[in-house]
Amino acid sequence: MQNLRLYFRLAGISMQRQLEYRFSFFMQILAQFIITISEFIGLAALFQGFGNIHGWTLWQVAFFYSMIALGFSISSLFTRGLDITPQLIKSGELDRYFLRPRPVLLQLLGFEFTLRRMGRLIQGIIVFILAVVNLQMHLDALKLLLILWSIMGSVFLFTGLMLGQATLSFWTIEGLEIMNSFTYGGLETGRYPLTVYKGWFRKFFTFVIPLGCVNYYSILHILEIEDPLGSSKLFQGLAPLGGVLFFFLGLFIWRMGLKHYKSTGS
Amino acid sequence: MPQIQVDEISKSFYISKRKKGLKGALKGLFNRESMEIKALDKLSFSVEKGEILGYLGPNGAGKSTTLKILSGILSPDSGNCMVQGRIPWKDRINHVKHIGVVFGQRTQLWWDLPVIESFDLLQSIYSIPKDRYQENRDSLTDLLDLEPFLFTPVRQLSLGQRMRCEIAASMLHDPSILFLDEPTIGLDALSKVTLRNIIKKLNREYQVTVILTTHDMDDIEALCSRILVIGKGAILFNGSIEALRKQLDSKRRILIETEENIEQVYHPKATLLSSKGNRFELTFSPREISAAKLVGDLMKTYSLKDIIMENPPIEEIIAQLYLGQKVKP
Repeated sequence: MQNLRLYFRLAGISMQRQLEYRFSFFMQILAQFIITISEFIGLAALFQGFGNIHGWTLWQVAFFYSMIALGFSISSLFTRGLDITPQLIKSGELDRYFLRPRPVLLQLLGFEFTLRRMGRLIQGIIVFILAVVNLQMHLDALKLLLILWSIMGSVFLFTGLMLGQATLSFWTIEGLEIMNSFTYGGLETGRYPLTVYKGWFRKFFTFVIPLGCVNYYSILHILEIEDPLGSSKLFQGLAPLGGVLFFFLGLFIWRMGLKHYKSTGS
Repeated sequence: MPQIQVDEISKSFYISKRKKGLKGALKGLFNRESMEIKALDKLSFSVEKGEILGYLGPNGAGKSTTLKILSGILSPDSGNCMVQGRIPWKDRINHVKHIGVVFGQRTQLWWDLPVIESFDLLQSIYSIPKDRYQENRDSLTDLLDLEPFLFTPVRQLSLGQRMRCEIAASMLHDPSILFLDEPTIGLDALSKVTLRNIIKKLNREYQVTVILTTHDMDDIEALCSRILVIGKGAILFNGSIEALRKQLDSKRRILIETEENIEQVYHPKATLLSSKGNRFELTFSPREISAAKLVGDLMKTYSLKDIIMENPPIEEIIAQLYLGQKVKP
């Protein structure tokens, strides 16, 4: 409880700092918004040419796209500290976090609540609304709940991935691109329904990194589409749990990383 | 029981060797030889409550490693260490509540925040009770003379001002031990003197134990009741500065000024180092002749206006130690 209060204080201070230069702050948000929305425009252009991809229409894909964008961007708002963990280790700053009577992870998350990453969040919300309107979806309470549950699952999933990336930097500062290919690669992959991918790729993103769980299966339930892969409704509803489990796996690995850091100090 | 008890701690690091050039770098991608570096080799010492211990050693001797172990950041490979009944690295959160750490080269304050807001944040981080916090903050502000820049963002402070704030920040939660890692590095002469006085006062008024690493021998002479010198992870010397002086067969120097201009000053047990007009610099070994006897002899032979006795600079003594001239305790 006390830790939570401290987190909000630290986050609040970081926001204050970012808002100090108001013009540059708005420009950064705008820039990120333009970059990310142009990605979506590119996607839409693709559908102009093909009409559909593997039987999926533009607005169905847009719904997948926005759901994963929402999860990713929410997670990215508070994981900046994990992004910069390698630098903190290299410069020795991380030691400071160990010298304070609080969990190291909490302090890292409190390092910054990155407001400029709202650009992607805004883009996600806009695409989401466009998709809902164009698909003429009726959002009843159950669907809303499923939407929130899926987004929560993917927030957990991406946070778990960030934890894994930060943990890896306890061992090596080289080769972190590998992890980047999972986080950003996950974001890219999640934009399309799993069926467009090959079998082994689908399995990897269902059972190893459960991206399909937080995005594909639960969304089928929301869109009321029969799964071409044949999953049951119950499984679809429970699937986002995979993201939560993945996060706890990340947390476990993180703890091991901390122990390793204590024994090597670098 | 001493406040800090270190028993035979050892710590090794492994660094990977890489061969030169592109070929070596490519080879290194697949197999790497790693080299063991012994940072600490069965190091033992103890510190009593209220001491100011000077912790010296050349770069890479293992000073930082020791401080990291004592403050709970690092665990040793073997050996034991108790700080006020706690094993630092096993009980980190509980341990760090009772220590303060200042790194001269890094900051613990928030760069963009005014000093006072950094202090407020530290209150939250350490969960310091409100009245206790205000009392400490006010008395430290007073003692360290922080009032003029309490509302200035940290990034705008001079190094001397910042160091004072760092020390205040590390004392807000009433630590019983203060680790200072090169606190005077980069400071101007006046700021150094100020900082030394502050450390002395903190030690006296708060009864805080201070462990200080530095390369500045004036820090040591001004502050430390005891020094611990390590080299290559093992202790070279442990005792007072005076004891160190005595144990090393070091020459002392005497400067004299005569009433009249004379050609030369001569004494069979002293060597003339330099002369300039009526000023002469001699060196002698206290083992061969006592300082009193030498001065007496010189006064009999010459009419002296002034005498200055000099101890060899502590720097030279320490440098001798670093060079590997072991001193017996």
